[in-house]
Amino acid sequence: MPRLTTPSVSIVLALVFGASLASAEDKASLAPLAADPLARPTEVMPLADGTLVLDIARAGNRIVAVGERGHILYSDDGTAWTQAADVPLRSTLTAVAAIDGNIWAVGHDGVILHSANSGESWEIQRRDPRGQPAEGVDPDDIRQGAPLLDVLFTDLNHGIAIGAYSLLLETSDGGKHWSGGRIPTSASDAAADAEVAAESVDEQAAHASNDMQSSVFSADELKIGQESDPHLNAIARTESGGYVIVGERGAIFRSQDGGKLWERSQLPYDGSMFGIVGYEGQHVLAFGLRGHVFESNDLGVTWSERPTGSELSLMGGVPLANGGAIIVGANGIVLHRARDSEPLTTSTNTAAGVIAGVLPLDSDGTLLIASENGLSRFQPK
Amino acid sequence: MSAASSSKKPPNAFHRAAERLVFGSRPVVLILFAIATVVLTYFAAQLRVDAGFKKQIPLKHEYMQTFIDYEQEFGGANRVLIAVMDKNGDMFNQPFFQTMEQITLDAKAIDSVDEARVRSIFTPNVRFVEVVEDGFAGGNVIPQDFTPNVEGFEATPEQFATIKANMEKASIVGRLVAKDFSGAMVWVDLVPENPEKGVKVDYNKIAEQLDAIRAKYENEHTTVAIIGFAKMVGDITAGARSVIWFFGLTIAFTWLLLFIYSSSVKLASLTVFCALISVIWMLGALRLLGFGIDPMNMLTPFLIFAIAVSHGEQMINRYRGEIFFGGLEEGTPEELAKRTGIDPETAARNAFRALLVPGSVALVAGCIGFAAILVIPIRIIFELAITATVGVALTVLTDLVLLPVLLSYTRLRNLPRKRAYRLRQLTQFDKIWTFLARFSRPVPAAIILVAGIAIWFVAERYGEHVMIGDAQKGVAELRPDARYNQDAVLISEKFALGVDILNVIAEGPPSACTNSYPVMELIDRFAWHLRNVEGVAQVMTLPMAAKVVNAGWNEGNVRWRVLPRDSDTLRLATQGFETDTGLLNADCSAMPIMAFLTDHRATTIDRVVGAIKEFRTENKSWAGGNVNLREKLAEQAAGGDVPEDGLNEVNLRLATGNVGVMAAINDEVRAVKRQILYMLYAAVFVMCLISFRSPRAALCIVLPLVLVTELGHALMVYLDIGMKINTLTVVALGVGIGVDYGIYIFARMRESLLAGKPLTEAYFASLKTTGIAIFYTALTLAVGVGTWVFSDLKFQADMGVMLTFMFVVNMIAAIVFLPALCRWLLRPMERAA
Repeated sequence: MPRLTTPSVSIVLALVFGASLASAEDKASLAPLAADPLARPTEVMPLADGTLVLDIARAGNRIVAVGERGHILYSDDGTAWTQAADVPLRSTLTAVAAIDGNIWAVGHDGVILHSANSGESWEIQRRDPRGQPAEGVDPDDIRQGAPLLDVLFTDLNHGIAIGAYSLLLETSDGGKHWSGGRIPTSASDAAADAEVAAESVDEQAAHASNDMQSSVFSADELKIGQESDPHLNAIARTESGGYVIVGERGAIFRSQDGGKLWERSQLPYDGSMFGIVGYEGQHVLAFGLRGHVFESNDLGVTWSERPTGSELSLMGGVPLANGGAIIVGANGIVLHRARDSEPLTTSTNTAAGVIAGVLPLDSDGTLLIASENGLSRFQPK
Repeated sequence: MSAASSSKKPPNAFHRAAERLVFGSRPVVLILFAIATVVLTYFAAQLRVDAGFKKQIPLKHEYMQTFIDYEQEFGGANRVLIAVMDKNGDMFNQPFFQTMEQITLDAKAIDSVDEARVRSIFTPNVRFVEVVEDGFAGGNVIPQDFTPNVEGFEATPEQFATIKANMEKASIVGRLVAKDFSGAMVWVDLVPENPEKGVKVDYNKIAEQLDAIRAKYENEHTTVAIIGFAKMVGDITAGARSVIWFFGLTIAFTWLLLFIYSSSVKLASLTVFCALISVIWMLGALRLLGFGIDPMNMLTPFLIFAIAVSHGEQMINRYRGEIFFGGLEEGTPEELAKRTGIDPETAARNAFRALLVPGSVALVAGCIGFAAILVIPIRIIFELAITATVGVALTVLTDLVLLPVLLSYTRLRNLPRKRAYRLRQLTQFDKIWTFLARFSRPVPAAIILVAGIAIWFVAERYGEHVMIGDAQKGVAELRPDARYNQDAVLISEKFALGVDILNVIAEGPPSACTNSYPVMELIDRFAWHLRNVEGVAQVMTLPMAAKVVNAGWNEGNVRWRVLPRDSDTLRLATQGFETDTGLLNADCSAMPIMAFLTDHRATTIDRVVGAIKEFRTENKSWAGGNVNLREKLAEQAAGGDVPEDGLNEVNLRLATGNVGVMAAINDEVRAVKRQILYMLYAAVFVMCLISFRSPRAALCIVLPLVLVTELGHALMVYLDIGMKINTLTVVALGVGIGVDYGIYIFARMRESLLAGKPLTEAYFASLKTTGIAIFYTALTLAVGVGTWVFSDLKFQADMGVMLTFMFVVNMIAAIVFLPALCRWLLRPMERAA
């Protein structure tokens, strides 16, 4: 009989102190953190479509968007988004390209992901986080751990991914194997590169010592010269089959042999270009720092500047028919022209903040916007 | 006859000693009381209003340990918000900026303000960062050449455009600047209270200075809205001044009712006089104990007055019986009419003797009950408990010593007429008493008990939904249309963020923000999880800011908005942040995660806190309890005891910010709301057990209290009154006072039962002799607190409704349930008469 008292006492205690017992699930435990926290599968979160999204692309009938924390979202109508649950890592993804149901996403930590089922599940094709080199990457190479910033596929097998410190990777088997390193340039360019290499060391030191409040670079400083390994920010292909890559500090690379060999040139402006779109023939339109837009009809040999009336940096864009374009950027700026003969007109989507990517949704001109505040629709003026 | 009534209960040693002490030398007693009253009046006059932020906080709570550890470094919980709004809805005009600059300066000059932590668009700790060609620039939101208060300065539209752009870049829109640019705020953090180091914060003085700022700058163009603890205290204190008026009103009503009841100016005045003496004594005693009177405790003197009157009324009732009829008012009017009265002194002695036990039992039970509340580790409740305990203890002296002594000197005029009036009064209610006495018969008693259980069950279920904390914007202590609450609504509408803030402090190794990518990543991911919780409008952390800076170092390219993995780049991204951003401490081993919540409803707070606890448990990032991991890791690092891959541990500590404080208080209230009651019940039970020597009798008194308390909770739900520190105690006080009815009825009934009468008859006699007194007591108290409904303070009005309810329903419960319980608990075998 005495045994019975124990449970009854605890029942009484539970009734009296029910509240305090209920909170016992909050257990104290402390463990050293994993050295590579991004190697774990992405987390599905309710607001994934409302935070940093960096690129959008059409994949057949679907739209796929990628962004921070390994977020990949897909939608059939551009309104209701599903976050892909089966993404094996959490690195920030910067760009996406698709050939129908086959999608490739690239990003930080040298990551390349692939989906063969329209974005529902993903596999890692390449991963190269700092200190954990991918196969075939020299651990001491400056490009080890570098982020990939753009990706382009011409068919199911052939693709190019580009990134920081002139990193260029290519595949001819749909991404089963990626190879490359520093962008392969013609002989004369290599010599010129060696020359600027010395300068850039000093420059980086100056860069680092500048304190946050006073780091406004003067025009002279900007002229210091070309980076030896400029970041490659964006790649475009024209209908003639030519490629143009835009990069840091006005760096331009062009290729007419399907991306085997690249010829380096320089924009008339020493600021960086963040995006480029290709049209018919050899026609390209590049855009970037502080509202600068440049157009070339000879695959980037000669450039002419297009006025925008804005000093806001331009981050992404899409080509429209007849040389038209939509270009988006900081503080919700949206530039639009219906054809190449028209000037760019400005509208602003303040709520979006910094816009990184754009996609025309309907024939009525509604745009899908990918920004620091996630995915949204916008109707420019 | 008088001998007969007193011979029923032969006086024991205690009674004799007490009687000799009180009536032995009455003039000495009176002189002692007079001296004590003079002295305590002197001290009571020095009593000051004394409010404190920390008094309301359960300082031992886990969250508040975090608060104390970091209040010097991050402050933030005790904040005053001064919103300056342009009445035309557009802040971009020179007069507005003039006012804004001046108010910022004036705010810095307020007493006890932490100057370095004052924030507005005019303070240097509010900066923006801008990306330019290859790098970025930063600066103050207001450019240096924008000097609105310098004579001859003309603001240009270009300057306003720049300022507007800077505000956006600094991401202060919605926090320091209204979402629609119709105004801006000054955030004023007060220095931490630290009485040990002599740092006292005079909230009423601060409130006066805030009012002065409003008076100076509010005009036809500008509205100045002010919220924060200091302002609230000021407004409550101002409102509490009307308490004096209510006190006068209560006294007047009480006197009037007593007069109607006793038909004697002298008796009514003496009762009120003795009750006032106990209030004065209590206030004087408070001062002697070194306390001030907290605005939230303003109501305690009322309660002491009420308790004193209710006991005084019993004394008067008994005394009158003696003086008119020479004993208890039992028997038929004819019998009574034949009896003769006795002299005042003997009458007072008899009344004293009869009430010494039930009176002190009731008062001591209340005393112990209030003292039991002392265990709750919230200072303000501690003070209330002390105040109430001292007050009730002193009431024993005034009601059981002073009042009978004074009565012994009292010569009532027109005694025969008053006697005749009383005789009529006695028979008037006989029908009601007969009806009520039926409740003690077995069958009605059983029905009543079943009904009681049913009511209890329903009330308990309904009362369970009592809201913890409060839900409305502003404070529940003030009326919704009070200026303070109007301001709170305005500020939360215009600013959205910055009103309800919960800060979690992430502790890590020294220089975590430059050396430890894993620590920064965890904080960032934690912030993201928090952002995804319903009720969180925005989260701010150092890692988030560092990501933006990292993109800045990469020409503002948004694709670089990541946390750098290598420590050199990480340092570059975080080194620009000063401690005055509130995002990190000096060696960035502590980083707050600031969550801006949509509201401070308990359900919202619970959800957010629950999500935080879930995250830190899942991610093994909580050291538990009050561990300061930062200090532990710093020691480890200093001792060279560092593992190969660094000290990558994070301790996520709840919580500071105003919502952190609310969360801790809610936790505590939830934990103790039952405990307080159980302690009170236990105290009442034990006291009754000791005095009546029967656990069943004790149950008969306690059970109706339990029922009424649950009904009180149900009423709170119905009236939408939240369970907070302030309201927590009201139910307790209701129990403390409600017990009196039961004890007096039972004590009287017990006398008759011991004399051998059957239960129903004993109950009838009890009702006839004390019923009127009890009914009048409840009425007196209820009318007194009922007037509070018209108070400026919503808190006081709510309490008025609650207490009126508690007094009346406790009385009804005592009359209805006590006999029914007695029937089935005490005399189940007795045959009904």
